Amino acid sequence: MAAQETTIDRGAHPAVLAYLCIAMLVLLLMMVFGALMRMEQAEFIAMGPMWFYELMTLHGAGMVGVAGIAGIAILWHFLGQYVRLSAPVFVANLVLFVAGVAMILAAVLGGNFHGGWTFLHPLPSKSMGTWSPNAAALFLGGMLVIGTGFLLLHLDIARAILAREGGFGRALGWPQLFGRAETAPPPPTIVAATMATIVNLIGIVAGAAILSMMLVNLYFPDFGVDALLAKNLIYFFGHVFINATIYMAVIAVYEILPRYTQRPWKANRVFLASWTASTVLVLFIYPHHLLMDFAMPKWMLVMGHVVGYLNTFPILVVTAYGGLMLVYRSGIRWDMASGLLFVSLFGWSAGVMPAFIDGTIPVNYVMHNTLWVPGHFHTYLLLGMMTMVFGFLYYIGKSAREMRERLVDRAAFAVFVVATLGFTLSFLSSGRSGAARRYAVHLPEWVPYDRIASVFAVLVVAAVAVFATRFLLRLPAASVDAPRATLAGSMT
Amino acid sequence: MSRRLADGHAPAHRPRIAGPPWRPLAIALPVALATPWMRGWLESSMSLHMLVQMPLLAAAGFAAAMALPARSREAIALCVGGALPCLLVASLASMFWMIPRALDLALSEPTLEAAKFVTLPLLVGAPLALAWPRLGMLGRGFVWTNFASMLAVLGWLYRASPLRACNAYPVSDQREAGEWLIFLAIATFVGWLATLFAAPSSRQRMR
Amino acid sequence: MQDTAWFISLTLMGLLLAVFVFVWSQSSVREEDFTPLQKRAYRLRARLFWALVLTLGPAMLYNLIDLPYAAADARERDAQVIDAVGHQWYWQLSRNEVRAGEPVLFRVTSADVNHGFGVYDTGSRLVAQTQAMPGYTNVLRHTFAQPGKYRVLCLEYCGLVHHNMIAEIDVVEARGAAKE
Repeated sequence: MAAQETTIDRGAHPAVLAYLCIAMLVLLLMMVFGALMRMEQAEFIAMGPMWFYELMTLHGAGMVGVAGIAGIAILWHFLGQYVRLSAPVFVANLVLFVAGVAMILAAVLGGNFHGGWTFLHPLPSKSMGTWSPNAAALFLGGMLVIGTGFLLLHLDIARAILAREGGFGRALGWPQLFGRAETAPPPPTIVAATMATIVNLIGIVAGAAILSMMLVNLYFPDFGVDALLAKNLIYFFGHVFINATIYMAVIAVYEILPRYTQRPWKANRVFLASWTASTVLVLFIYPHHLLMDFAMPKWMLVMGHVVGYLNTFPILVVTAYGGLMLVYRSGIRWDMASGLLFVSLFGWSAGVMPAFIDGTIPVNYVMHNTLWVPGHFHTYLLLGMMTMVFGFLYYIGKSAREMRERLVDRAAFAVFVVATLGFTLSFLSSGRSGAARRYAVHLPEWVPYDRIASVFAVLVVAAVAVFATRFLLRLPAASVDAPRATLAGSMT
Repeated sequence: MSRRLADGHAPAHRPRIAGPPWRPLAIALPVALATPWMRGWLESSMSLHMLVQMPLLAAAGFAAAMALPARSREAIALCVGGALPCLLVASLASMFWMIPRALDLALSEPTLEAAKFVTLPLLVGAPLALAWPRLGMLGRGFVWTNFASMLAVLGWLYRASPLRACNAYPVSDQREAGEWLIFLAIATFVGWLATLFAAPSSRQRMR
Repeated sequence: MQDTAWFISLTLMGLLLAVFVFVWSQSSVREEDFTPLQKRAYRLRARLFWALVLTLGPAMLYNLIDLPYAAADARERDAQVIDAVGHQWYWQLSRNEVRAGEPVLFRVTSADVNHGFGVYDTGSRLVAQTQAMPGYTNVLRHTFAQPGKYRVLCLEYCGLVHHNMIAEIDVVEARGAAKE
């Protein structure tokens, strides 16, 4: 048998653990809100439209925030093994995040703001008296505070990467991709971190601009913001930010699966091309949110449609295929970490299928803003992005002593995968039947789907509660430098 | 006398901004800008007044500070409390001059016109020159990104304003200034981002 | 269209599931020498890449034919026109009776916030939609095939009563009542 070196996996910095703890607690709370929403639509409970739309606003904002901090925590943990990152800036982002969350909670629970997490202008300014301009300002201000934190953190990440690589071009492997550089390309983690940083720097600055404009408009309504411009800026910012979270979380796959399979994930030409392509595609795909805005320039809508198709390639052909290649005939030892990370690749690629289909203009014509939309994004965010996070949690919480998971973990795994699929398929089939999204009260013909979805939702929450609890119980082990991967083909 | 004659190595921890002849610039700029012909031309439209004359005045102050020996610069910066106070002063001073009323007053009141010629170099350009070398990539990046988004929002304000904010200039001037501001915002951001793509040696030169 | 989207999605997701399950089933034995396996995998990937190009490419292009955006240029003098204005929280329609079999041009805008003009048929199926945006008029062209009571639902979240912004359109028999 070939000698397998037992390399030590770095333990997590306390700040990374703080990020993940907060992420998991907020996630569970947001999931409960989400389940309550489905139960309201299923007419199992009756909390009324005001509560529904407030929870909906919190659920959206909270989940995007959770994805942001969980994703960047994973990025920070692994990137820190290649470059020197600043812990104070990392902590500062978390502080700003919590402050922003507090503002958002106050706006919604105290001020009854329920403009949706997408804060689509001019809705925050026009509430028909159901919330005050101050409540809307508190919400928008909270988003601005959170954005500022991420901006600072991404600037520090950029600084660290540039200190090592010299320029973003080098960090994306352009000398190896386009030139004949003899030197090795940067590791996949650096390529991914660079891409996420570039797109988020652009997205956050755009978001800051529209948030500032909307804040002015709240108090000086005579300064009007063009509704179409506002929608473009909002969806550009939102789309880029939420997608960046997946591109950050996938670093866990790039780092951990090779450890388990003892096979390298190489940043070869195809990999580098794929990540450079993704950098561009993520920025130009956002018009797929505006396909029913007939007032848009037609070429932009066609671009959104086309880029949606192109975007399937990097995900399917490079990341998913790469993971499958690593696992195939690898003798991999399946545990919670490796299992969840493997499933996450399925979740991401499967979720992209209804996504590019909905991004097809004639389909969007009859499915835009139906429950098909949350159907597809819950698939790749819950079974894709968050599953990468859960996989990381199990990996980091592993200690040398406890290498085998318990029955409760494996049961939670099975329940999670099946219930998430059931939950997202309920959304998709509702959307197929024309169920509109963001409705507190459903038409009678949609309610049966909601009832099935509610059951699955509760199961998903239960499974994730197990993941979160197990992680919290294993926190002490998470900061220890110890071998974590059960090596493929070894006898342990 | 010229920077080019200094020992060409950058100090270990502070990148030296090499290149432009600071002292000649510090003298030539204000003198040129103060001539009646230049003043008349640059103050003839809102865009030129706000987006050409004022930045050039600030640049004069920047050049003057850069013309000082590095040790004097560091001493002054330490005196005023470091980079942050400098940036605050520069932000507040430039925000004042972005208010349309200020443009009006500069055209109608000679004292304010003089104040403009003094405060822009002294309270905007010079503090920026003092602060800049003390800022790392984080600080500089934060300044550039905020500057870009602020320019964009300002540009929108000028374009979207329901009223004519300036007595001295027509509404069309106002809209044009707003459009230029938005263009500058995008150009600033793209320019800054582009420097991050370049390899280190060229990037340090640009900084 | 919805059914097609659903079945294609399910098929693709099912295919992916099958592939993942297959790889999982083949994961227990270890092929120690990764290089030849990698080479075979890369060759297969190249074929996969081209297979995707050859299936997704035509699909992408085919679906760009006949986009719903042309209605704005429509010069149909005989078309039935409905001016629709979205308000918080009701629809204001210039008329709510049209004839089946003949094109209808909806000129959709909003008086306040973004709304979504979603046309549902008698079987509660979504058949056409466009956004209702303040300051803009979107022109939606639709021909009602069957007479009956159709509904307009709001498809863009607009506040507290977003779910109850429902209007009705009566579609009556075509002139001459010639049933095809």
